[in-house]
Amino acid sequence: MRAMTALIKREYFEHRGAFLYAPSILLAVVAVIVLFAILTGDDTLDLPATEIPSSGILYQIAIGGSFLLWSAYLLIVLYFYYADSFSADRRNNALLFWKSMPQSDLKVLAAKALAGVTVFLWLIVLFALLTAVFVYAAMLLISAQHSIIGAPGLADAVWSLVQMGVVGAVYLFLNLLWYAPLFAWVAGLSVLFRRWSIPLSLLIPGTVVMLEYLNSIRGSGHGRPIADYLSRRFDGATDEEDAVAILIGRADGGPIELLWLILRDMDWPQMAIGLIFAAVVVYLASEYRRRRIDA
Amino acid sequence: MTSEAQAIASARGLTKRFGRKTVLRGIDFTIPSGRIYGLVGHNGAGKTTTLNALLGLTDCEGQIEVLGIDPFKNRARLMNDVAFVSDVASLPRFLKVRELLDLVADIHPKFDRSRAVSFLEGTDVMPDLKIKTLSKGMIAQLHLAVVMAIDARLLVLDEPTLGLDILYRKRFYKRLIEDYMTEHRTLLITTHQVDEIESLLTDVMFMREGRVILDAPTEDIGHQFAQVIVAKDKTSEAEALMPIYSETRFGQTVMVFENIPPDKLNPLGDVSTPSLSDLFVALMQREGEA
Repeated sequence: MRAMTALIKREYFEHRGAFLYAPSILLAVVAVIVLFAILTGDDTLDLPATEIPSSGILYQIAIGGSFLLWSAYLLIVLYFYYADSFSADRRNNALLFWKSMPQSDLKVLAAKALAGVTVFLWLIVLFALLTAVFVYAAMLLISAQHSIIGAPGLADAVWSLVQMGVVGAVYLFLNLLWYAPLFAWVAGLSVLFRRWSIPLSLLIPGTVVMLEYLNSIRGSGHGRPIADYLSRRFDGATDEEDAVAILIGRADGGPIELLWLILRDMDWPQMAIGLIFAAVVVYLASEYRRRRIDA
Repeated sequence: MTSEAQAIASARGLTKRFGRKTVLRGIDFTIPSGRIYGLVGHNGAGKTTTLNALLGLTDCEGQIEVLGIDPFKNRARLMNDVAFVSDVASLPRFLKVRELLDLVADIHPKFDRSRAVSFLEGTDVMPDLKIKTLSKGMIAQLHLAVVMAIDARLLVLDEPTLGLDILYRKRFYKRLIEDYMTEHRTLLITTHQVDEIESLLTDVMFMREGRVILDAPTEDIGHQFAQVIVAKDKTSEAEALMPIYSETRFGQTVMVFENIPPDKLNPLGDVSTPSLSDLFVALMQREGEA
């Protein structure tokens, strides 16, 4: 366990630029722009009070939005991370150093795979929470300027943040597991093709889907099962319509109901199939790496 | 206990092919414990492939055992007792020195962090420096400090001082011998700069085109081989003894003989034990002609 933790820490050291420094800069830049806009913007607001949700719902939407945006950031950056990390030791000429350590190639690659759902996930959850805290501060500032927009009390805001934080973290975690086969696919390709893995990860399924399409318009009668399947997987882990309704206050319920909806609507058999596919890819990649000694 | 039982590593019929090219041609060797072994050969002789086979980095035909286990099948387990420096540039460049030591302390159960830090005292390698900012010599010092802080039974060094200046090379080997070697440890070194390590070696193995052409303790080399600076009037007598190598240096004829009794050589001129580099050249030429 100690070695696995250290191997995951190594991933953090190698990729902290994408998961710590870049989000920090992004958040700082957005914060400065928003504060500038609040402090120097027009102080008249012509909104009918009926169009503005209650401050509690508004803050809930803000936290949810923060998690959704950071979720998109995490998924995109992880895609690039997996496209690089499985072959990074060869690229930076450190492969033989790591092979001189008493850790198997499978364990090393498993640590890389797990880094996405542990340390990098926690960092992004932290940034989502920091964003939510900043939003609260911004709401306080705006409410001081415009009596029409309120901010929840501190206790309510903290409670909202805790509850929505748990929901957001679970949502992010499940999203990562859902997209694990996609990450494994690009990681597996990177072991073989290094930096070409990104275009190939799109080109290969794209070609298959195109051939399937050509076959279907010739009237083979088989439909397009591959395209349908991939499309379903890209749609995401859950049906988000009901969740959004709760989030924006148009349906009854709070964060607990939201969490229940996310868990209830999850396609668990497909999740399991995806995870098995990812595990097989990581194993095959480790066997390939075991036989590689070139830098 | 037999010498085979005391061996730290042994190979029988070790063969490695890359496509149609055969890199190792059924070599046999036994490396006893507590020795300093030099593996010498031209580029492409099969030295690195032999080391890779010993370290479990490549699969080969034939039998090979290191510390009693199959290295390729059990590389991770083997690395608990084996340390290696494959290339001075192979440290992860994105880490700081302190981070590297912390990570290795958690990853390697036989790594002693405080020992590594003590090895680095007095050098310019500072804990908060990024490895990518270190000079090649400093990286070599750091890498050596890391492997010397591992309580390993076998240390393998593959061209560890390649590209370093002579000052670093001397310091590297001095540190290795004075601070690391004990009778329980075995050291296996490959290098092109044989002269530099000649005095350290207890055994030497010469390789050529995937074969072992000499495997002997250095103390036995003087019994088996002799170098003679032949007196001008004794050249034909010397040639009659079938030297394995002959050359002219600064107007003097130098010959290397194998298994010729001293009483036959002494009258021919100045007799001495050939240096490893001279012997290497002699044996390479003989094998080349064979």
